Amino acid sequence: MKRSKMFVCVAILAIAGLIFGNLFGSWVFFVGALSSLSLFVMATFSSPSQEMQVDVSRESKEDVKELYVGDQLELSINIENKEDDTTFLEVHDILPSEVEVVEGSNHQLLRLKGEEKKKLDYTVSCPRSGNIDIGPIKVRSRSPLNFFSREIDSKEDMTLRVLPRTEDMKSVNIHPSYTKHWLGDIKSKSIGIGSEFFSIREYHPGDEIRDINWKATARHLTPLTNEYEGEKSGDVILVVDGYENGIVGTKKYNTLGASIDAAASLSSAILSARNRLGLIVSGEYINWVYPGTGKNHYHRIMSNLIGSESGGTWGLEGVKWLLEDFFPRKSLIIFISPLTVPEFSETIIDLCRKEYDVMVISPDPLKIEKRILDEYEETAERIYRMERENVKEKLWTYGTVVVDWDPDEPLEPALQEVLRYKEKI
Amino acid sequence: MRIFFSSVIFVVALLTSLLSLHSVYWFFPIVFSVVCIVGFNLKSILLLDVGAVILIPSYLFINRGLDLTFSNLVMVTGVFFLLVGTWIISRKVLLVSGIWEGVETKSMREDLSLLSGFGLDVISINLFFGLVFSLLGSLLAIYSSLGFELSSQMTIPFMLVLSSTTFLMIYITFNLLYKD
Repeated sequence: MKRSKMFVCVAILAIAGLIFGNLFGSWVFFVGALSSLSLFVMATFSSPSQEMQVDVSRESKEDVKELYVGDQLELSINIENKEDDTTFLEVHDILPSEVEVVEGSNHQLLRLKGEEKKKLDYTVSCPRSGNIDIGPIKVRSRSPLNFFSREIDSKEDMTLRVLPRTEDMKSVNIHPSYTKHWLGDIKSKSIGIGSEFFSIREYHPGDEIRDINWKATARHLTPLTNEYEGEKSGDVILVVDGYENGIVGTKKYNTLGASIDAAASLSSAILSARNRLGLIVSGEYINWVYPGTGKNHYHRIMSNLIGSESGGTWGLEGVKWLLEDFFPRKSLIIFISPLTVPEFSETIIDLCRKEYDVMVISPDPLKIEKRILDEYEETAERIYRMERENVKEKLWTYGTVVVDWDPDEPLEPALQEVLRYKEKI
Repeated sequence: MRIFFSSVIFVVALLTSLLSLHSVYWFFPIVFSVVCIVGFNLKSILLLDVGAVILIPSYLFINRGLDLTFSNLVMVTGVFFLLVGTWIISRKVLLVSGIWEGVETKSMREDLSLLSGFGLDVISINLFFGLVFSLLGSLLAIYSSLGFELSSQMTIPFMLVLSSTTFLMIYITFNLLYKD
């Protein structure tokens, strides 16, 4: 049985009555102390002392354990009174601050007759990605005077995997400048295995029969074979900046969240173009995944993305060391960073000098700040905007493609525009 | 609902002040009741508790000079339990109203309406018996000062019964409290 704040307050009254009664030498205070004591006696008599006999369980619709940011999930709490008497119960399903209740309530009061079962429904939504623990469910029964309460914690814990919001980016063609030997979707401008016709040459023993160009053979009376443009793939490495000091925004809406969303969308697009994809997340720890392909690899990347947390221990130095010593050279490195920490730009420039093909996608911190704040200093904004333009210009000078992205807008158009501009120059 | 309960708190405080008009500090209950009313309207149980914990001793303080008579004893104890009763019911209303906002289904609303009424009878009985025990205890403690003239044959059993009842109750209270 737990004592409530009311119990503490009445105890204070009783003690105060005794102290003031002695101080002022007045019987009135002693009567107050005695009345408080008699309240304790009555409260103790009227409160049930046995253990609560209640069964509690939680279930989600269709047993969903995975959902995307912004998706809604219906949860139900089943509760059964095992006692014979009617009881009033306070049921509270403990939710972390990241979870929003959109319909119903996770904190409810209900009356249960003896042996009665009830179901409480409510809907939650998660505005940010990550592994989210829901529970335990607390069930409390209060005594009528609210001096004591009985409480049980059901061990009904549930872990939800909230996946980042992904964008369909089929029209964006991100491909590394350096290709490897394995098959892919990138036209390599050399003869090889592919689907696009390149030229005709004389037949050599060992050529596939289906590659023989029969029309040309008939015209020249000598066997001729079609040649195709080789389609290859390369390595792409996504680097997500989770450096705590550089993050702008609130816990729910910030540059790291936007970076993770962008990385998730790019992962899907890059892997579907049959490229190998690697990942490095620099935050509380350095999470990294060696380049690979396929669906399983996509899930591995997603797991690492949702498990990433901001931190300040590792700067980009650790990332640089990983890239140079463990990851394949001549890969396309896509940095997703708000570019708020000057040292990061220096590291990116350093990597550009070492034969890496570098692209930067930068979620605009000013746009995020503007959305959060009601008022902002225009001069400060102008100065920051100029500083940001300088950093971008410097990166362009060293051959880095910089995509300035407003996180409230889709990434695809911003990326397409910059890639088109890059092709022109 | 909020206006109704704020008015109840204020009327109880006004009554308390009216019964304390003999003191220069008669306005204390009205002033401290404002803290309770603000707490109630801001849905802050903490503020309501703070207001009550100040209001009740302030009432005892302004009546500290009263003569020890039976009518004064009944008045002091009665007002004490009236204030405590108002406090307990206000807390209950706050708890129910806090949960009411998130409840959408009809059956839940019915449950909450029942809960609002649930325990009022138990609270009233508890407060009534609390008042009776308090009066008995007070009489036991100060009966000699009240000037009762009882024969020694009556005094000894009277003392024995009341003191053993009080100690038994204290024993039961502690026993139940530490049982779990």
